[in-house]
Amino acid sequence: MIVQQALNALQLGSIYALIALGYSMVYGVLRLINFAHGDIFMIGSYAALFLAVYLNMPIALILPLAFCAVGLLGVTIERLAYRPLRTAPRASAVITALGVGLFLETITLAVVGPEPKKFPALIDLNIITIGAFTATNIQIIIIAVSIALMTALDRLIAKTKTGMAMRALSWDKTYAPLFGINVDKIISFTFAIGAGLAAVAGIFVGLAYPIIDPYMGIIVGWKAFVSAVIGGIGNVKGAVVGGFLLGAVEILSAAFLPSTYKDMIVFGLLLIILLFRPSGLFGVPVQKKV
Amino acid sequence: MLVIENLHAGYGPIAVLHGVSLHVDEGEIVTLIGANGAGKSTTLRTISRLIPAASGTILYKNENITRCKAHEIARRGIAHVPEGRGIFGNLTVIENLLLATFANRTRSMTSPVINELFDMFPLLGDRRRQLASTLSGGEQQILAIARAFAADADFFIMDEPSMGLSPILVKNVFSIIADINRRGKTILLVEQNAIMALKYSNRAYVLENGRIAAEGRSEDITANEELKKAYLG
Repeated sequence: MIVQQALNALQLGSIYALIALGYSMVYGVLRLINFAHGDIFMIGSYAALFLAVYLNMPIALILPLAFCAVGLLGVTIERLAYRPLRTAPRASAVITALGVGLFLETITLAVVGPEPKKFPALIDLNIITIGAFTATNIQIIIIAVSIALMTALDRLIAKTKTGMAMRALSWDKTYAPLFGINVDKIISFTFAIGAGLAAVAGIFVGLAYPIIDPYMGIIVGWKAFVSAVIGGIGNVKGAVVGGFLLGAVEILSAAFLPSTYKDMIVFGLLLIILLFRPSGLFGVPVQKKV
Repeated sequence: MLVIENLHAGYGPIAVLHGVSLHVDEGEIVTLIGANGAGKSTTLRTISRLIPAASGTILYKNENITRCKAHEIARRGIAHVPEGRGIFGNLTVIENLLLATFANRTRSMTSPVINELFDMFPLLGDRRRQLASTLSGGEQQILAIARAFAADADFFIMDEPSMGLSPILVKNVFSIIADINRRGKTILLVEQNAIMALKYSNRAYVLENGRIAAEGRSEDITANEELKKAYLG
């Protein structure tokens, strides 16, 4: 029972963490909260549904293809909607992000209709039993692939020149070009990775909770955003820790309390953590530069 | 090496430069002096394209770079060491140097190159794994210069390299500037500390209200009583 709940928590936490990474990375380079990100996650789910149902693709192809296609969508959104507002007040960009989110929801609604769709069973469900401990192969795959992706991202940010440039941009955008950094390219890359990871999360939600609808990105997006803020927005490790923490809290509260309480508890947690650590668990307090 | 003709630039509707013309030859150290607000930093920022030129031309190695983007200018071998140093405090010393090699894709930061840099700037070698934000002001200035070196730039633009440093460190920074010049780098310098800058440079331009008011060999400018009174206190 405890092991099963722990696996449920890790599975849900992986999904929140994958989405939270996109919020956090984009905030890191642009100081923009991309409120369309939850809907990008939803598009990821539908992209996988399309590839599976109409093109009969296997999951091993769907994952990379959806990653790239939705990554490209992220790049396009940045190019068309956010780049023209790069120097505008941040409030304009945030409102644009909300608008982009609504646009993605309504266009999905127009194309696929409002009724929820059954996500195809891309992986045959197997229950693995070792002694008293049981897990599904889907849980194991979701957790393992998520951890692999997060590790790869961590290496990318820590070790590659592109990763260094992303970190440099989060410190200072004005002077970065003086060192040969193509700021637009790094920002595009950040959107691509963030949106791609959200698409993977969208596929995982389809696998784990196989009913999807055009509004699925709203509440999941908010919770992933809460994860990023709890961890310290702009901080990649914080987004991962925040995602897993939120997954654990949600599963625990659903196990012991009426399930209607879980969202209240999740958002209550946000308020409490921000009360004591306004920059989140891993965030650095805002520094004024002299 | 660098030829600027009739350059106009500013910030939005505020024009700062009203037709600046100057040139820097290969191997020279040239100083821009002038009062606050005369347009010294603006000239440098326009060369590296942190701000766009309204009109006029900037030629570098006989190519027109006036409309190039900032990162393209860096990749052509112009390194701007900005006022306030512009180091990335959330990166380590060595990462700051590695990042600068973005400006030069043919150069990989192999250990000999890094070791050469740390030989030149031993202080940075000791602090290589430290976050750049933990360096003192003087160390940050040295890192900013070393970073331009890591980019393998030919042309250094330096904005107030002695700003905020103690007199001993100011001397230290100027001897580094002289040293990199001996290593074949061309330097365009902006300095509040005009006396020091003139001592180390070959030629100088005096900027006044966005125009070149005087130019000449540094020792002539130093000897000119009128200019001395106006700019060298």
